[in-house]
Amino acid sequence: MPAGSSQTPSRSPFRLAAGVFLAVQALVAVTLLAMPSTWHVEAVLLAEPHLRMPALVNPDRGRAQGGEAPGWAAADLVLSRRNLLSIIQETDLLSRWEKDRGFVLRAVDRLRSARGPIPMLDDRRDQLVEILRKRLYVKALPEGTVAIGIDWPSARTAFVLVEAAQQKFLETRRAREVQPVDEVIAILERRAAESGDAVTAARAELVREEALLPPALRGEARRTRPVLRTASPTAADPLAAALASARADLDRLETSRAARRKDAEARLSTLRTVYSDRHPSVLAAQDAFASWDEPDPQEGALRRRIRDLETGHLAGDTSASEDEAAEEAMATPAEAEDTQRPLVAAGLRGGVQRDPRVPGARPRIANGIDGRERTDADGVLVRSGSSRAGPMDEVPLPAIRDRRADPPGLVAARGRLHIVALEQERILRRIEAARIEADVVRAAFAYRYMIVVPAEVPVEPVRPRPLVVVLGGILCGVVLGAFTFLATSRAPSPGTGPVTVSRTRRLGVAAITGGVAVSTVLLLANAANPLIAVAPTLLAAAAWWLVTAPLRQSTLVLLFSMLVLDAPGDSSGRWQSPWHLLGHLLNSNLNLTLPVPALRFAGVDAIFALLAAVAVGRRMAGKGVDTDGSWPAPAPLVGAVFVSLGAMAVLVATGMAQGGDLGQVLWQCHVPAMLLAMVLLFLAALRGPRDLAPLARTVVAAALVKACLAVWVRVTVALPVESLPTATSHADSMLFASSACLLVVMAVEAPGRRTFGRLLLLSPILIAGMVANNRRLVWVEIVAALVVVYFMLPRSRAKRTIQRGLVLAAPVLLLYMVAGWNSGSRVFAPVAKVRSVVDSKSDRSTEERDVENYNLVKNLQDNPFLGMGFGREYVQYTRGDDISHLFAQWRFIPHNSLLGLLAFGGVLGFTTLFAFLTVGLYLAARAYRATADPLLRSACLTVVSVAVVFLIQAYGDMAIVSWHGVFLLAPALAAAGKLASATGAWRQRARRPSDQGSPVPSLHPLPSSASVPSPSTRP
Amino acid sequence: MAKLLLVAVVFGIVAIPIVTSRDPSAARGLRKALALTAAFNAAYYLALRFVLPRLY
Repeated sequence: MPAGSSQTPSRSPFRLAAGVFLAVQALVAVTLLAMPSTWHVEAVLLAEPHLRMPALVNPDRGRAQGGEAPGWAAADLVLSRRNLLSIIQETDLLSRWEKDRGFVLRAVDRLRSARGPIPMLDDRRDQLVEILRKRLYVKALPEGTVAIGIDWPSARTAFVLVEAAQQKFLETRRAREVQPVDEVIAILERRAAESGDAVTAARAELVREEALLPPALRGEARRTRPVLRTASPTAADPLAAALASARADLDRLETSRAARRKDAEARLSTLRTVYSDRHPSVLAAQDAFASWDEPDPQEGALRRRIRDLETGHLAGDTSASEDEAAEEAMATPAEAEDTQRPLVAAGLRGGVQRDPRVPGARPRIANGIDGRERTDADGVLVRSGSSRAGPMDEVPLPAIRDRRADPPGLVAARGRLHIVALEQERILRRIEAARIEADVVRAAFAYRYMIVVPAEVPVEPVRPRPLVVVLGGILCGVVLGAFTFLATSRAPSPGTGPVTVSRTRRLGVAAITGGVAVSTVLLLANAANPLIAVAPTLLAAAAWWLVTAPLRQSTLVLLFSMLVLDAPGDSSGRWQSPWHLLGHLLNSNLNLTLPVPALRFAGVDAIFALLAAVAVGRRMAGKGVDTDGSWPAPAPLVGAVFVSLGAMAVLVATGMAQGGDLGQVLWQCHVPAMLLAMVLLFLAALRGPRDLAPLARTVVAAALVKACLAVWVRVTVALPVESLPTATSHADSMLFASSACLLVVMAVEAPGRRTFGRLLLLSPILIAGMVANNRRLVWVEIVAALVVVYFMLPRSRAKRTIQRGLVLAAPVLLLYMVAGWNSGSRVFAPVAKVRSVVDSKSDRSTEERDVENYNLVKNLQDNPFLGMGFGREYVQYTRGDDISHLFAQWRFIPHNSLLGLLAFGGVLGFTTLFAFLTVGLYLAARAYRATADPLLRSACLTVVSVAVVFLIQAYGDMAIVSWHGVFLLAPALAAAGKLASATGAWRQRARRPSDQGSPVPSLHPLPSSASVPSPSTRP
Repeated sequence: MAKLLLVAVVFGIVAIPIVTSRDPSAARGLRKALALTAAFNAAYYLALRFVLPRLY
């Protein structure tokens, strides 16, 4: 009995259990009464970009690119401090908040206010802003909806808040969409006003210039239209200006399209150099390139507009020149000719022109704007640009008046007036377009956001749910009562008197029960499922059991769990077992499953730490739960484990000294270090040969479960092998192969009805699992392990028969191999398997493994003695496929773990890293020769088989970082150590009085009838 | 042949302890196992260094 604890009669475990049950129910009742309710309100808006209305209103404009999605930054916009303050004010939340809080919280508030200063209004407002930020959520979902919701202690207030938040969201979006257009209109109007001032000034200047003319010419000058009105697109003729503008737009559009088409062509060409023609990127680029050859609606609209303008311009010019025709009619032909000459000589674009080389030729309109005119045989001036050749080229017009006599100041004033007038007109047009756009945006906004799910006042709180809490409370009370009963009662031993339970134990039970009850009720108050009540109790019970149960039981349960539960990524991520959550908790970091970022370790690490603490604690306390009747662990094996751990530490230091990455070191060394630690734990847990049968049964049971799962997955998940390459996991190959070898070895070493029956009954299930799991390596592992076992078997008639059979079958086998080497027939499927393993060109995977092996060997040659150390990636001398998108650590953890460890550790590091395996195999082989007991010999051969299976898997598929490797090899090596001690293959120096005495140190076989030895029955 | 040479490391790790376990002295056999394993690994490196390139 531990010091400090006292034994008290355990008179009423049942009463205690009943008390616990009633206490839990009372706790539930108090929780239901005191805990404030929480109400949930949510509104959902459908937000979609509405492009149809703007497109219909202005079909000439291009499609908007890179605009905001309707739900863009919805949360940031709504949850801004300004918005939240506005919501608080509009909903009168300050006064509502006081009423909404439960009476417990109100009482706490009163206590606080009584003890301290009353918070200022601003402080309370700030607190509410923070509370709203935490409880109000705005989520933009991928399907185009925006959800706005809140959890609040009052149903009515929750509804009001969501309504207000929804209104704020719509107002904010409206402001962001409409205000920019209004702002643009305001800017344009300012520019228009400035332009109007400029026109006024130019007009005043023109009037001043006209005033300088002789009186007879003033009226004429005022009547005279601007000299270059029809001769230049910059004149104040709106039709000509619009025509010029449209043509310029068309030019820009064509240039832009040509450039983008060229870019698309270049991208397609680049992609074709990288990918095949059927690659999705190439196909997408092809489609993008082809789309540039399709007619552009914007371009078509521009061309139509130009056609219309050209027609209108012709008519406008004709009418506009009517008043000038009178002037020209009064002028002499020579004057008219003189009038036109400078225009043509100057190459002015468009306007009324006459070819001076053809006497008597009538002036005609040349409508081109780029000056590419020519004169035809009739003296008619014609544009050379084919795309702009039109009927207006042939329209004759009367000549205009010669204005060269006007003073230069007047001409300049006219020009300035025309320029500023044109600018003003351009701005006015843009203002009109912007106003239309603003109207369209306002009209379209109503269709952009539709309330799909309106906010409603809830009728039931989300938590606590009374039914859930009551049912969960009853369940929790029953389970905790049972736990209390079991923990505080002990079965009376004959002659030991009344049942006693230590006070320490009672206190421990009370603490655990109380903690679990409170946490469970709190959990229930916030949950929707009464079964959640079982989780804390189960967790506490599991922890209790791990602490109190013998290590040989807890380690076997851990082993079975690790072998059976699926890890993340198993079944290629296409299927998950119902208990996958437990597997994830054990195999991957806990913070990936639980919302606690600090839990950056796996569940198996935590359990290992707990079990190691239990083992150390029991040793220090002198408890014999695990050591009574236990064979000592051979010192060389324990020493070799520590040597390997030391070698790992040296290699980590070497790698880090050369710039290694500590994060990658954890990836590389976590599982191997746990393998070594687990060897020590299993050495402490297993007592000797008598624990090996449960160990074997656990492993075979796990293999059968996984085989059935593999078949189930392959049958139910209807996916081709390409999509589901493994039914369970790669590492299950080790489990299947080890179990199969165990069954075979048992049948060989202990032939009998029972062992043959097991082999015939169970091996088909294992084979079905192996076939379903679709890993060729498993067959290599079984063959290699059985070959090693075969050579270890003593000479016998059966062995000679097998040898003769193999010699006789060799030619037939050779012929079969040769015939089926290149065949795709199912008859030669085994040959295909063999070829896929040994022939590099059989498939891409094998080829890539060869590239990896080559690179690892080259890395070993760079650092042959101590390697490159851990934390550094191997150098690729020959470039293989980059699989970083599938496995980011692929250059830190190569598929070939053995060559990888050689590259990272060099010859010295590799030898010391595997020292534990060398010693374990040595002890197993020596124990095999030291005993005649068939079960012990089977166990020894199984240890060797497991080691071979592990090494083959390590050579082919990263077994060194596999938890299956840890939980198969570690117990196997621990068993080897115990077998060596039990059979006397390794004589251990006695350390304690209970361990004194030694087993038979003979290498001669013991009689086959020898029973399983134990330290207490040793001679 | 190159593949056989590469995979020889597995057979070296397994075969040496099994063969040396026949030694009448357990401690001497263990020392032999460790020493021969180290020697095998060194020889394996030399084979990878000088023989393997000829086999590719």
